[in-house]
Amino acid sequence: MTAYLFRRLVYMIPVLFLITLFIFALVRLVPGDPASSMLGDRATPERVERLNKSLKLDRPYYVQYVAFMGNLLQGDLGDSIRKREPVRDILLQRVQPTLFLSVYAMFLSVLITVPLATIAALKRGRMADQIIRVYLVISLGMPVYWVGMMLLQFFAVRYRIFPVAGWGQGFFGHVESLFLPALALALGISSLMTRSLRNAILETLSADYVRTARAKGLAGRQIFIWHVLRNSALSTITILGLNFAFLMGGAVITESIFAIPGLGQLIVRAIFDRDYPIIQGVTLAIGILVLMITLITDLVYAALDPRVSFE
Amino acid sequence: MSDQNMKGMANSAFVTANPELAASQWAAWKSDRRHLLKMGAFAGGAIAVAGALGNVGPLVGTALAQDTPKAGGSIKMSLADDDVQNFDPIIPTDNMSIWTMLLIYDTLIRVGPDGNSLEPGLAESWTASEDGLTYTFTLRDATFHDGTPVTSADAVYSIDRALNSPDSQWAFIFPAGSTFAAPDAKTFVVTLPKAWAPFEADLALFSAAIIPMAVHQAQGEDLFQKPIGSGPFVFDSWEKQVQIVLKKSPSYWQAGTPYLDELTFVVLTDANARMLQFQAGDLDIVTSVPYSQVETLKANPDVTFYEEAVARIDYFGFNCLKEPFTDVKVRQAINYAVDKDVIIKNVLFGAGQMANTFLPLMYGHDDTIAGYPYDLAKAQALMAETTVAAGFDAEILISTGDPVGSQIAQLIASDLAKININLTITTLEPAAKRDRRNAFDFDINGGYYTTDIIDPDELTNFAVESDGGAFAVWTQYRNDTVNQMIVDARSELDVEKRLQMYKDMQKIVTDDAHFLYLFYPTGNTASITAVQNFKILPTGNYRLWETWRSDV
Repeated sequence: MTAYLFRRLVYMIPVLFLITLFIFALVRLVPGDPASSMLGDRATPERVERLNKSLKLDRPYYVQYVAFMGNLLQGDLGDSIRKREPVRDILLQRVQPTLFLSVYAMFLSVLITVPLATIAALKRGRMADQIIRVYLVISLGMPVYWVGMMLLQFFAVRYRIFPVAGWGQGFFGHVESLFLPALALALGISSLMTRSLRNAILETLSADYVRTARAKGLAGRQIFIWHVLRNSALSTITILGLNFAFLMGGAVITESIFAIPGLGQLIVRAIFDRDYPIIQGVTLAIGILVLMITLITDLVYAALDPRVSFE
Repeated sequence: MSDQNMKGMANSAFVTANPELAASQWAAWKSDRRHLLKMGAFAGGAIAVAGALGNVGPLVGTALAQDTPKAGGSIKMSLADDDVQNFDPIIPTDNMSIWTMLLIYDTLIRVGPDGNSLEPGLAESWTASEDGLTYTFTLRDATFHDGTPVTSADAVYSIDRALNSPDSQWAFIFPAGSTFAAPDAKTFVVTLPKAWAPFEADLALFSAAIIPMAVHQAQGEDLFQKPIGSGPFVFDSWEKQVQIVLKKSPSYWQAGTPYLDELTFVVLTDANARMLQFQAGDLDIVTSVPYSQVETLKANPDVTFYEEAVARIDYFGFNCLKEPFTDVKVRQAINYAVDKDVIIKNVLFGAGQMANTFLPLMYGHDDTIAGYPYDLAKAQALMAETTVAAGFDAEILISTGDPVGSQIAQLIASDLAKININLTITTLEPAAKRDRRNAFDFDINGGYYTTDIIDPDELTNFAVESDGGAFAVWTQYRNDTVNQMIVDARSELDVEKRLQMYKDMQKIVTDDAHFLYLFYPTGNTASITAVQNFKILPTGNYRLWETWRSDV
């Protein structure tokens, strides 16, 4: 297990290296450059040249890349072109809200998914199941942006239960401020998860070992939690892990609406500004996060399913 | 530019509505070349008169104080574009940084409350030599927020940085080779290499803000994480991408101000989020109100709506060296064929007026020029005189993420179809669009510009001067008569003569039609009714030290 873990972590390194190379080349190949973006409409060739020199962007690409990698190996991601601050500081600050929001959304989505899927599966074919399934189809068509706006309008503006924007102070401040955005995101991902969990539960309910457990005389609830749910959870957990990428992307929109100072807004802005160090830094950070989540998902999967072993 | 002369009579509206009278006053003051300016009171009444004279756009809300100002209270205002990028005066080019830093720093001269004249700032008074090459400023008693006095050494340091630092994005506003001296602690001398008419207006630009020399030498750019200036508000805290808090400076030189104890600027880039916060009562002043919400807010009795004339023009530039836009008749025909009133009414919901010259509504703008009101018959007649009367295909470039621009382009396309021009609308990401523009790879390219300087020279250099560095905002427009007028106006120190040169210039340039002139939009801001004496100047910034709350 430790060997497996170690191997996975080591494999991350070439992947991350390729990510840096790819993103470094990509942003520079795309039209536009940081100096022109900063100067906007007043970007005369003379001023652009002057700014490029001041920002050291007039060096050939390979020189810039070597400098970037050299700094990276020392843990220095460079300075933001726009803000003239170290990218690492900006990242560490801005990743917190996004991470908090994503984990919160994942947590809420589980709270929504499990009861809904359970009811739908156990009352299969009856009214409750029908209603839930219709809701799932409708919710697939509801964009996160719209859901977020509706929640805002109703629970924050009309009835002032939650704050309208920002991410609050302190842990409980965050929990309160991020509830609505996390809910919007959770509703978005829970529809697919509920469907899959419902189907998985139905499948498991008719499995042999469940019949055996009933024959043994185990209580219904015990059977359900220990045998049925645990086994049905596997595919859903995979979806949950994959959804992390969606959550990071969905964060961009939700962060905009709810004015949360996270990575999403940071990277969109940085792309428009062609702020290369930030784009590179954020892409790298997200790459690391996604790889870590994939790893964690695999480990959780293995923990839940004793049939899975590490080569 | 003397507040003393402008005091007691209308300011900006007067200047734009009645330039002769204002200019002769101006000329009378300037012509004897010695003018001592006293620290003046601010013409708050000018705002009311400006509104009454109408040319600067109606003020829908009450911007005037109804009672005497009350001290105390705080205001929360939105930052609509993005967070402040940088508090170093010589670096940023974005409005949020500029407008916020103008509350923390002082400049020697500053823009008056009407937004179109100059008044003393840190310089209590100044004189200029006959030839306009030497300016001598007498500084008033003022202190930085750390308690140290503002001296001329700080002025020399700050302005020299603005001109000569390689990081400065604003070096071009002063002529190269200008030198600065501080013969004593309260005297600051500038020696220009050539006559430079816009000099005083340039000194009012934020990039000429005075920073404390000793602190900057000790801390370098770290100073700008907690900037220290001599302005009305002291920097308190900056939660990146969330909000900036400023507190009242107890030692501000403009006695009695600021009235407010605290200002909080909240970063709210999403228009809906901004409006919802305002609705929920979490914002006192909301900026950049989307056009679609203008009517609702205007009708709301609990809201004061400010429809200010800002110095901005929206236009489409022709590639003047590309057929058939080389023919002035084609350009004029296109101008006549587009119905600007329809655009203003339906896309801007009335928040704007037709543009008639390349200058936005600012000092020097000539409102007597007819411009190109909608006239399809004239457009068709002009097209008939060209070689492309049968019509042609053209491409118009607009930016992504701009629904307003997209609607406007569609209206233009349908208008031009009536004179047989088949327009393709190409939407490009801003940087990609800029790249094509810079390569002169376009037919018609959309854009807008504003100004931070209340003098027309900088804009003229940018938008009209063929060799001004921006190729007449990349239209490659060339009229050597105009180019010569620009150079002459730059060094013409007689105010009245200079104003006339800009008026003549605007006539010729409008006739040459290197732009499809669209409109001058208004800035749309709203506040709760308790906010008093709040105004957005044409340059976009706000003199929040004169604003107060009636509910304190």
